[in-house]
Amino acid sequence: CSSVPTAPAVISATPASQQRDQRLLAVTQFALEAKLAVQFNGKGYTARLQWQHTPATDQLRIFSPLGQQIALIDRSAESVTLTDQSGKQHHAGDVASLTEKLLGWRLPLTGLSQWVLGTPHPHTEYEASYLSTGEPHTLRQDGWQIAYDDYKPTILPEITESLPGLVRLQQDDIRLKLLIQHWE
Amino acid sequence: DGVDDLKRFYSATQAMRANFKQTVFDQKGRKLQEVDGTMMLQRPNKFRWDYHKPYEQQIISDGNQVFLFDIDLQQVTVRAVDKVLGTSPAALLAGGPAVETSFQLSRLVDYEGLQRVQAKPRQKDSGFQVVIISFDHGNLAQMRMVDSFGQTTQIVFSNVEVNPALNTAQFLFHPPKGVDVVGE
Repeated sequence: CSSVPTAPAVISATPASQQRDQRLLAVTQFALEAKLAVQFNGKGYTARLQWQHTPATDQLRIFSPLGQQIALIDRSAESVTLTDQSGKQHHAGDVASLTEKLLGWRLPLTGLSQWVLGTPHPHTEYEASYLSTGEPHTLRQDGWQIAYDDYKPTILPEITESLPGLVRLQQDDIRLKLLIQHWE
Repeated sequence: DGVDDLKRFYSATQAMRANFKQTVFDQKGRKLQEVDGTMMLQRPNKFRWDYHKPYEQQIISDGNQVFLFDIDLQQVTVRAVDKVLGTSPAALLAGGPAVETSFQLSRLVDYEGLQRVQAKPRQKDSGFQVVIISFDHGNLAQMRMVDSFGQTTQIVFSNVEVNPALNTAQFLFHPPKGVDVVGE
């Protein structure tokens, strides 16, 4: 598998990248465990995530480095709810505005459900640079700059594909680093 | 009994070093994560927990600040120790004698030959429902924490050294080059 990009990333899509994007359309659900580092205006923290994604729902458990679960985010077609440590429930129209209200920064979960696979979502335009083997090296969409590293062949329920091990996302002064530990 | 053992632990054990194995179970008792490591503490409020792969991290308190260093993410989060005291069992063990100001103690029946005490955090949003600490004839043996989502973290100690001569420099944290250090 390609771990170190030999040739420099190519700006325009290639047959390999188009075929890969096509294959990834077959992925409708996944579950992953990851570590997340957040930085925004000089503050920040780290956390461990367990994320179950299906087309209709997302369930995200967030754990502190000290081990305890600190939040549960449930998204369905109609609502988005965050349950905090004291059992209080917070609602919002989408995950990004919910985390902005509670945590101070926007978690773009909708876009992330595609970006985490190393592919753009189909709803808005994007720019990308690609590795020779077709995986995106960088991606810019919805105002987020995304950089990928450590691609590895990964077995998902619906396909086996080269997926990123490290995803860095930046928008204004928010910097997220997502290290994916394993997929199910 | 367990309560006396805990009080004696706070008065007689001024420092401690041990290996530990940490296992995390979800609400249904399924094992989610297993990691081992080494820990040491020195009253009051100095402690150091080094977690080994695959969940490599260091949690180091110099008595004033706690450094949460996630090695994979190359990021350090700094928190004031008093902010962590009521919310982290690692800090609970290293706390000063007034443990009862942060936790409500009650005796539990012995289990598997261990004397046990239940500690309920007085701080409402501590993130933990209850912490159960078990002693083996006065020596710290296990700790079990149930967080507010019902997830259980169990820590089993081994090779426990009571009042070893510890070099206080080990409780100082020096961020390696290139690592992001962020406050909370």
